[in-house]
Amino acid sequence: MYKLWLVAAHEYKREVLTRSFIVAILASPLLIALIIGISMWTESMQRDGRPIGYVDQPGWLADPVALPEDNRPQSGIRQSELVAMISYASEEVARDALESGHIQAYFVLASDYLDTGKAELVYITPPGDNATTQFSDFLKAYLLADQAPDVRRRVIDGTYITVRTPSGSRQASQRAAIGAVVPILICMVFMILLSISSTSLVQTVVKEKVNRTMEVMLTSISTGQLIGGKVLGIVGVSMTLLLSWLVGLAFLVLVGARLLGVEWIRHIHLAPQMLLAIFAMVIPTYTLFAALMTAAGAAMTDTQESQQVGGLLAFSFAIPFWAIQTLVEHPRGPLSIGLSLFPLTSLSSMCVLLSFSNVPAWHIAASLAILVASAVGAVWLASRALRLGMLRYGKRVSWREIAGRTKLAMTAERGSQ
Amino acid sequence: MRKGWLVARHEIISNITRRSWILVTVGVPLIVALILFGRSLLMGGGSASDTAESSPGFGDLHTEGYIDASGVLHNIPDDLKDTLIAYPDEQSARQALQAGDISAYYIIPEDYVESGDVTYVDPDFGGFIPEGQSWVIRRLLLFNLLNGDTELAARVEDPTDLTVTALSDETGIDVQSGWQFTIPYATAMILYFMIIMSASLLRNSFGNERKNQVMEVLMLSVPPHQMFVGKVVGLAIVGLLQTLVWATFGYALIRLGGQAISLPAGLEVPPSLVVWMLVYFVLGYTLYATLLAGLGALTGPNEMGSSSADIVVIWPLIIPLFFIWMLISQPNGIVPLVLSLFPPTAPVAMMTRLATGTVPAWQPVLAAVLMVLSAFAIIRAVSRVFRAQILLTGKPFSVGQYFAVLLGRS
Repeated sequence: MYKLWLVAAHEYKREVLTRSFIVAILASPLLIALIIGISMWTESMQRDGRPIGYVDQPGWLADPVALPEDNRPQSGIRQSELVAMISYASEEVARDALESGHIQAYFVLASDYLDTGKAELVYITPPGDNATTQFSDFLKAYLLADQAPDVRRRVIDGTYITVRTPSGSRQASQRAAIGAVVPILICMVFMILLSISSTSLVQTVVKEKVNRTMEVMLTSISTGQLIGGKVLGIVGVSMTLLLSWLVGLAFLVLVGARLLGVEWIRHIHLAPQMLLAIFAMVIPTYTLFAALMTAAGAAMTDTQESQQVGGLLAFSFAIPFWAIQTLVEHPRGPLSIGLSLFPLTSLSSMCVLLSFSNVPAWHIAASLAILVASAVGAVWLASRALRLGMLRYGKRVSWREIAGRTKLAMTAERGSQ
Repeated sequence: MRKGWLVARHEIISNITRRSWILVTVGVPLIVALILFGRSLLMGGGSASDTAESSPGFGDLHTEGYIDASGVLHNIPDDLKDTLIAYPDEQSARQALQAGDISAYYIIPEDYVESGDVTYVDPDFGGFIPEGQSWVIRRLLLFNLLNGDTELAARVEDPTDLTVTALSDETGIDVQSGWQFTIPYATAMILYFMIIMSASLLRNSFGNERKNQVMEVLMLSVPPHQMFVGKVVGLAIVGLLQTLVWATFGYALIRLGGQAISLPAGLEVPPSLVVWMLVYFVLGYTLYATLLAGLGALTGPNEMGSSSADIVVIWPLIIPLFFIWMLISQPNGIVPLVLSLFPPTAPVAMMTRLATGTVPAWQPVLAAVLMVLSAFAIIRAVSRVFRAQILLTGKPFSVGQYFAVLLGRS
């Protein structure tokens, strides 16, 4: 076992203590910050600050008594997004203002608006959501003019639901709905990691095979120890990367929220048991993929070919996202149970299930047990593939052959013992 | 050029006869079909959210409980009295939940009118999914806040029955409405993956020959430019073939199974879009494959150390994806225009804009001409990499060195 740890430590040090690894650690949070920055910038570019006009044919909005003092729109519009609203006496005047670019759009309330609710929106380019929502809230304020101020505010603002389990172990607030999908976000970060590292995973043993040090190494270490150590080392490297990304992201979110004064961050509740369940599954899942991709790299003679198989394996991880609607709506259905127990898709399906439902402990334990058994099996398979690949250097080894010859190899091993 | 064709033929045959290539080409559409149709079959042909929306009034509901400390819920409609049961405190609601009398319960706090907060205690933790019935309590609270005035409650929920009039042909895209966003987005992603996938094949092909050290041997009998062109053409055909198989599958899916996967009726892809897609694929592929081939020839197979250089080269292709929202919602804005004329970002940006259907005809032509000129310049620059003295220097690879070679400074 000592040699296994030696190989693992060597692999870990070789990858972690490099400039490219440090760049990879720093690059991702910076990239995400950049994406968020660009999104905010594009959003601000699209925001039209020009006023919005309206033509009040029923003469209803002209009543100064009806306009409440606290008519500030509530429906998620920030203060900076508010636009002025201008009343026009007729549609012609409003159209002139629109065509001259003074306003971004105008509404015409039909003369029978109070009975039918009919209205027309006229624009040259579609107005921003902030403008239409603001006008909608403006109408609501008039509709509720006879109500008490606190009731009016509550009706416009709406109800905020916080869902929790009876034990209180899981909680998600509508004010910070993103908190509920944190498992999916972790899964996506894992998916990025898997797709980035799949190329290097299939080439785990390529370097040693190419420079012919493999034969020398195998005189002092068994294939099982070599592959086990390599997979362990790579899992360590990737988990370091994953952890640093998640810590970086959490840091960015917290600092960003504090600097920008974002209130909803306060409402995110992360259940420690849920995070523990996800991280308990992350390590065997990555080990499973690492071992399968290493096996593909060891069995195939061509790097290009093993990369395509590696890509297909990484693709299978994303399958539950294609069926996300079914998983969300039928968390106890056959597809949900099947995908969450199948080792290649169990982590991604479990992340979806944990985001939108309360998963029983036995379900998580069963997925985890199958996953760990599969990961151990995959490492074993990879070591056999390497053994056969060495014996038949330069020739491709099929999966069937690995399983078939393995029996022979085991018999031979037993015989030699 | 005969040797160039030989190289191209070799690349095509050796790639498409690989079992892994066939597996990926056929396997990916099969998995997608299996999931889409399997999901549809498991759901009985319609989504649960559709059923929920179509049910009039309060529909079929689970029995739930509530504890109202605010005193707002004083008026419960008769048809809800059996499905929404009042409890004096949380203890009794919890006991009812444990006994199976109710499936969940709500806690409306004393300060509800000020805070708006309601707690939904649900063992399934499914409060936000479309099938959840937390909308019942919202509607009931609204109804009670307005003293049972159903007409006012309905009007406040949806203040206008709106008709929309656009005074310009250039209406812009309502990015909120599903397919108007999905089609340009899918076009961008497909082109991005087509270029990346095919360019990576070429990069690996050169990388492998660097690794096996057969490139020097090959160069003895095939002039570098013929080998290069042969590989570029061969692997472009391989990439196009894979995309053709996937596109045929996608087309069949729309025609045969549109209903099963809820595609809109009459969804058509204009032929001009397909033609431009081919033009921009060829140009984008030539640009990026050339750059990546040079990288492969210098560094060998794609390993950890060389991936940073790959990212530097591929980065411009990714940039339009960051601006995808803007490219679709404001296709004729200044940023989309610049991105779609700048050659490295042009393929993805221009195709996204073209899929929205509002681009003046001269712009895709100008972008294509600019790309042809850039591709020509890049091919000339990369051909410097193939000089024997550069391939044989044995110096460790660096990104800086690569760009110095491309610019003729090394």
